[in-house]
Amino acid sequence: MAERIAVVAASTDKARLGELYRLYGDTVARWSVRLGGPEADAEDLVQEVFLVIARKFKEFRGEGKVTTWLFGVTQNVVRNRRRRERRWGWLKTLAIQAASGVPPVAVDPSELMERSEATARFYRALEGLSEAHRNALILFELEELSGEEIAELTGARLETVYVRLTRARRQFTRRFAEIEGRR
Amino acid sequence: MKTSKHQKPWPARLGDPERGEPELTPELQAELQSIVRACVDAPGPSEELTRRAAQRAIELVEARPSVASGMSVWLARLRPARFAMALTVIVLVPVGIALASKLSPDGLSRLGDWLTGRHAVHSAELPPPSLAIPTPPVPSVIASLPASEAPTVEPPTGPLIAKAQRVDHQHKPSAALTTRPSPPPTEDLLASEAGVVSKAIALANDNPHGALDVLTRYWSKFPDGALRGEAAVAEVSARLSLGENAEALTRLDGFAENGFRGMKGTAGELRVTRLELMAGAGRCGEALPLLETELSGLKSASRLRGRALLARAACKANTGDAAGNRADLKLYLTELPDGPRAAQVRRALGVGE
Repeated sequence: MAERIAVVAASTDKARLGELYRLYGDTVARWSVRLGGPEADAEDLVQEVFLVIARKFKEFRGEGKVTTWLFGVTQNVVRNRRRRERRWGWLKTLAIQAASGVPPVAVDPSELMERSEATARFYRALEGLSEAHRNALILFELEELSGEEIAELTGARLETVYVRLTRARRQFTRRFAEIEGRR
Repeated sequence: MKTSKHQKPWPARLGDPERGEPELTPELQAELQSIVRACVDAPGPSEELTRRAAQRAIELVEARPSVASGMSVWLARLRPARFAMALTVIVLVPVGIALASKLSPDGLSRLGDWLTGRHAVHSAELPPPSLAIPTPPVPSVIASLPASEAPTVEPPTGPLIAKAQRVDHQHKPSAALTTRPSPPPTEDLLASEAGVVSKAIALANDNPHGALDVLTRYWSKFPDGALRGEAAVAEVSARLSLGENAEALTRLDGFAENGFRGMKGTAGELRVTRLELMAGAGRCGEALPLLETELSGLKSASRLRGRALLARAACKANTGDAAGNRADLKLYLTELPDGPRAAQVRRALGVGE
């Protein structure tokens, strides 16, 4: 990791940014999509996150871990995007897909369909959780990070991370059961 | 399939029936794990997408700094939470001070007391501001208040306390004024109302269930409250966050029946949201004429007009008017080339960036 930071710090601005994307672009894009959920327009979201990273990159002095900084930026952009989407994301599908003539649901192979359905159920149950709980659960369950890694990434104390995880799992389970009619 | 390093099942202690939580049966546990597994295995963003996004970001920042800067302004504008609350406080307090000084003979001195002392605990109880709904246009709400309801509104923050003290110092009420009778003690009531609404607004995004609980109390305590427009926006936002679009629309229909009475400052926002929801619910026959009226009264290139245009585009698509749909999308691009939906609309219309 230190080498990566050194590489990032060594070049010109444009080269540093290119190097940053080369090293962390996939990770940041995956965070963006996972935090954003299936309702988010992946391409738009990733583009927005990358643009904010580019714009703020000069502010990053390399004092902290680059991944922590990147995650912080990603988290903020996704949170703001989700807030906007909640209000009228559903409308865009209606208005815009009609214009493009693209059918709203593409025909997927059955396995993809199952995954897509499972993803939708997972994210539906996440709704109503606070951003901190939601993000902790996504990082733990989907990104498969340990508590320590989440603490490092989010800048939270380890104890805080575990409290969030426990509460998040509890709320998630309750909501999942409600949605699925299990209680 | 990738092997997870977290193979442990979801712990059974999470499903404590005594806490009203579902029992974590082995079937439910297995299902949860299977769903999580499927999410982990779901395809992520492609390398091509990532590469393209990176390339575009570098281009924008390096080659077109003005575009990047413009977009940053746009992005900042779309981060309304803190701005909204700050603006609310910044606008409400001076207006409240002005009204208090005008309507209440010893308004300023009592306001100073209130700001600096009596309500400190109340202020500390409030959560930090977090607002994802558009800024409630507070000044017009305040302007529409009856004179007897001079607001002292938002709980104070440090700089505002200082400001109030400064104003208090500069405008000490005269002896003649202080001898006049005090007005009815409405300030506490309004402060209490503002506190409840602020709390609901702060909760609306991250804890919509909590916000709705707070608002249920609000409506029972302040059925004709001065800030009911803001409360209505918070309630609708919370319901939309929960995906309760139908409930939000029912609520808005109720407000519409009363002509959005007492919601002068937020009525436009609420009306457009209602029309969007009507479009989504397929009530286009009803929505289209209302959208025409609404659009004719909205300022060109405004945010609300952009939303109304897309709602009308949706309704036109819904009623089979493909040409009308495209025309509205094009109009959206003309009026709001950097609007929040511009990129998607461009893609849909096949128009280049």
